[in-house]
Amino acid sequence: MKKLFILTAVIWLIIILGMIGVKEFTIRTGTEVLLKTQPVDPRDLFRGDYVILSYEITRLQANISEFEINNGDQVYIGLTVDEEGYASAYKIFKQPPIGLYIKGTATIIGTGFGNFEGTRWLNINYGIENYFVPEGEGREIERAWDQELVVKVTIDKNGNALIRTLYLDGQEVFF
Amino acid sequence: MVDESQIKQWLKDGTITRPQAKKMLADTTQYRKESTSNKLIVSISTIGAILIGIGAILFIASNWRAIPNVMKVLILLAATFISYFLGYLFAYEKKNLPKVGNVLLFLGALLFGASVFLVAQIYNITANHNSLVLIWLIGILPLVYALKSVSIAGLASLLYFIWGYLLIFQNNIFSTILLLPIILLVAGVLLFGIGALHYISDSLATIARTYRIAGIKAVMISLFLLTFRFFSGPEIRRQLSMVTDPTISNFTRVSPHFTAIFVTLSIIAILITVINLLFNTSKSDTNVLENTINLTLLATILIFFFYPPTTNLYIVLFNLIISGIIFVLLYVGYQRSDMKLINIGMGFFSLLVIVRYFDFFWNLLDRSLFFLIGGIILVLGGISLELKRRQLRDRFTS
Repeated sequence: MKKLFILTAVIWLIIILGMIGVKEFTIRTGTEVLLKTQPVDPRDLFRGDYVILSYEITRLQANISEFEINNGDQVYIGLTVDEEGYASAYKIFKQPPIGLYIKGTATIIGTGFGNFEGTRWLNINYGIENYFVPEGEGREIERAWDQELVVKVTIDKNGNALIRTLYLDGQEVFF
Repeated sequence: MVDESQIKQWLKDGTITRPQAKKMLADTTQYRKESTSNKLIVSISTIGAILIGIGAILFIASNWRAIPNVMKVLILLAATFISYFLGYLFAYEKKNLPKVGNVLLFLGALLFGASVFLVAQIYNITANHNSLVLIWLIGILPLVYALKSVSIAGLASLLYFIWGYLLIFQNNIFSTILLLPIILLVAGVLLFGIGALHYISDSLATIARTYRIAGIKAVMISLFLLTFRFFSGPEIRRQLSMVTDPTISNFTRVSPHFTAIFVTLSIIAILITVINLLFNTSKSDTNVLENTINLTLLATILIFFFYPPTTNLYIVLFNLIISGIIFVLLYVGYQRSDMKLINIGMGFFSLLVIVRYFDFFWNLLDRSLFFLIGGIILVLGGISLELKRRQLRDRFTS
């Protein structure tokens, strides 16, 4: 009984330290890029206020993919970075490509309308759609909808990304 | 435990002597006092544990930047392990405060989950991500088997369903919410079957029962939802037709991943049910009945998924199935003197009567008459159900 109790405590510690370790690995070994984004402001029951970030690379035209994509498919988005550090998507891959890429999950597949009639669109989740802020302060970012919001993310060699910093009109956002 | 009237009857019949009756009455009174005191201790400690748990969650949710992230993790980890080890000390090492000890262990399991969410917050991991709930579940599973505690096994069952829900429905990744009852039913039957397998060892009986009760509740909720046109009427056909037709693609498309998950879970649930049916691991005298019902449920839901409704046939079918299962729950509950089954059966019976009353009579009766008759039915029905429930409870406990 005692051994099982100690084992459980050790498992808990490994899990928490493991979660921290995986994220620290991304921070320490990854490449930093900038992503243009738009915010909205909901609340998570367990973790308080956060800003939902919708990046330019969140919504992509399906024609940059050479294969059929279904909801829930894991995909790899090849990225190019300009001289200012802004990343943009150039192709969707089924397998990890050579060079800089970000891993994501296709969530919504839809068909455009109006000028985009017949064009198929994909929504991709990268696991960096939420930025947690102190209680009540998410609205400040939401109110600044007319300003340019840019997020600095770190992407490791496996395509895992992590949010590092938010910039509002070029200024770092502090809480 | 015997009651006063029985002791007086035995005394009157000459079965026991006056001193024996006096001693038995004193023992009965003492037992009642201790039982009340124990319940009070557990209630107060549980409320305390829940308050601390809520405090910890609010502490994380406020995302107070005055404390550095490392310090926040250390504070929460310290609270988790202090609660955990004090619980162990009181309940198993010293054994002086077993009830409080078990509540502290439950609090430890809650705080472990809070720690997982705190780390996720620090690194801005997507909110409600299913993997966080899975990590929490995996973390507390060893504790479920070490303690064999109903509350922690109940927490594990709850996390199992939340994880499944987030995995499939978060951000509409695999499906729309319309398909929730379908997957919930399979998950419920699966948990019920897993619970029955636990009866293989007598020491796991508490866990087995907790899983089985959680499974029954999930199945009942799912069947209850399926009695509505919204979940099992012709609209679902439009959704399900998109699974088999890859040329259709719009915002409501159901992913082939959903089909894969649904079919795989169904096959596992069928295998486990067949094992339970053949080997009767639960040594239950209603083994054939319960496993036949499970196989019927799985077959019905698979047919429903692959041959979606064009008429209201399925709505009628699911109403009949839930009515049948309510009857079985009441019957088995009565046979086994099991109040839990009777409460579940009566609860869903009341719900079903209320919603069907609204469905059938809302448009047929004048509104005032509708509410008057409805009110009378509910008041009389409520009184009669409560009286019957109490009568059964008193009979079982005596």
